Amino acid sequence: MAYSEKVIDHYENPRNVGKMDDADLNVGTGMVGAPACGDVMRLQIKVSDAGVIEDAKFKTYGCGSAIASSSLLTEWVKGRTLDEATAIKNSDIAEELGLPPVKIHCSVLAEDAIKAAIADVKAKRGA
Amino acid sequence: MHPAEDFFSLFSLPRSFAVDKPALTANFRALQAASHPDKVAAGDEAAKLAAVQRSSLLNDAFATLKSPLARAGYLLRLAGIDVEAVSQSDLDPAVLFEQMQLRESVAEAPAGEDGLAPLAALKQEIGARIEVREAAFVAALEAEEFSATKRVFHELQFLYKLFQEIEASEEQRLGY
Repeated sequence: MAYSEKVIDHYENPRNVGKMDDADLNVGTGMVGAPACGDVMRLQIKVSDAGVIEDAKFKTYGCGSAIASSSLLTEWVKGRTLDEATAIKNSDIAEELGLPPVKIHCSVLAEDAIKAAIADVKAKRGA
Repeated sequence: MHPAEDFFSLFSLPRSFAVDKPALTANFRALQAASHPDKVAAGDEAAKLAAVQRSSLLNDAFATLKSPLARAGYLLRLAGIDVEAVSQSDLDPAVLFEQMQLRESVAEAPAGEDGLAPLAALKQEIGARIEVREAAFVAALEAEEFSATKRVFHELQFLYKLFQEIEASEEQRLGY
């Protein structure tokens, strides 16, 4: 199967790969996986007091589409509020990257990851 | 297929994760030989089609029961659990965390043949983990704790996949 140019670009030059301190109360971590493919994805966001995502990092072990989906998502969420980031749909990612139907689940994984990261930072702050 | 005729009964085996491999192989070969499409009289297209379908079913059943992971998934399906549908709540966060670490360890293995020893050690560790988790799978299945069984199944999927990844990395280093 041929990957789109955008997928290849994110795969070869992934943006925002890295790790943030999970002990930081302003950092939300979303850890998700796709057992059938063996993919695991960690997506982290750092949120300002005003609720704006200042930084995002990810690490994904998986196929090109999973890496590209999470890489793109970290670019998209920076500068957005938590509510705006929550509104991002997997179909937006799939469309931007031109993912074929068999790879849509990779964009779903990325959406699950950002939702989990947002829920995590909200839970930490609520505590 | 008749609902009562699951893959286990097809090969006259008890429905369980532990499988008698020699019996499975022997029964598969006998059934395959008996229903070989070449045995059908020339010209009988309906019988030929039935034989081809039977043969394909037997291959499918054999492949499913031979692989531990496919067998585990099949046992869950027989229990009415959809293993294809996975939500993040079906996954244990500790398992995901551990997978992340294991994948990091694989990625950090030195390039070339220097990486072979650490990869072999990891493979052994994962192989041991698979054995432990398969025992947990059997226990949960027997206790009919299906959501726990499904969780362990998904963990096994990760572990087997990782095992394959390491083997691929080994082969690449050895220049296969």
